[in-house]
Amino acid sequence: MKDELLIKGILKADQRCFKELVDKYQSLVLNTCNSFLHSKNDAEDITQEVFIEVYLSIHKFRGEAKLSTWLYRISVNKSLNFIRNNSKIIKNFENLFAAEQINKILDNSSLYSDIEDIQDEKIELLHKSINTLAKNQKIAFTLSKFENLSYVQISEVMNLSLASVEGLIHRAKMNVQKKILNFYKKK
Amino acid sequence: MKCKIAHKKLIFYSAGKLNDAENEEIKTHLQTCDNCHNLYIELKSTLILVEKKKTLEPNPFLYTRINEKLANLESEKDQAVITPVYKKVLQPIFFTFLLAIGLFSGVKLGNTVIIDYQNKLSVPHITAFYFNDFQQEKLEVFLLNE
Repeated sequence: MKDELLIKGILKADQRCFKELVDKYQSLVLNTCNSFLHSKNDAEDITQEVFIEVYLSIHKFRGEAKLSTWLYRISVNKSLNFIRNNSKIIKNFENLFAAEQINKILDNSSLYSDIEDIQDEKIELLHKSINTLAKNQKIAFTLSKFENLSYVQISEVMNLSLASVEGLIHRAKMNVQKKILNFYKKK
Repeated sequence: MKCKIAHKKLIFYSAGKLNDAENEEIKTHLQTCDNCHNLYIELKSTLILVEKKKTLEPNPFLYTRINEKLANLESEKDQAVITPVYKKVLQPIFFTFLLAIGLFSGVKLGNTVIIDYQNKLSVPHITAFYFNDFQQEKLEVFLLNE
């Protein structure tokens, strides 16, 4: 069924249409949330919230953009809100143990024998580097690298010009590169 | 080329986004500088993990869970509608009613006491109180009794 029909059906409170929409787009929403949250359980929780929001505010969707763009926008906002709300608690712990943690990673890295452990360390480093980016850089970089969206799609999701998105991604790449190189230089 | 300049371009070199001249410059630098070469390998091996990102499998129970949450939300909404009516209208009415009952029973109880008192007052004096008891009992009678 086409998106327009699905939307019309949901507006008439047709549960079949809503189910079809969930089935059609849950992978997109789930993976977008996971790209920001890096946790399957959190991503699943936020995915549920995204679809609830879609169901409750479908009347606000004017059809100017694609439904997928609207879903990306809600997913990104919900994920960032989740990170913001949880970061207050996490930050306190991170501030306490940040220095200790980095030293631990540095100490243990020489002991890594398993390839998977090394890979996990690299993934953690990558996520940390992305998490330190400014909000817009983070959104643009994540959508580009993890979701493989084109710059045009990202500009639609973020409501920005193409040039702004290009600039954001360029700066994000520079910052991520700096963080990663600094980490390996210390090693 | 200085290492510092090379470090700023490694990510773009790795993605093949440099022009031919810059590409060649970095390539030559990496062949001559072991430190930069090692950093480049580490950077590339980290960035490549983005592409290897695991795709999550959709949850078959997602729709059921969403429906459940929506039902909960609606029942919460209904409760939220009932609660203000109870709090803003029914509760004041109830307490006003209780207060009225309290006042009414208070007035009633008070009235019965007043009526009793008035009844008592309206009863004629059985005994007259004299200032001097001799008026009631003459001295002669008293002495005779003695």
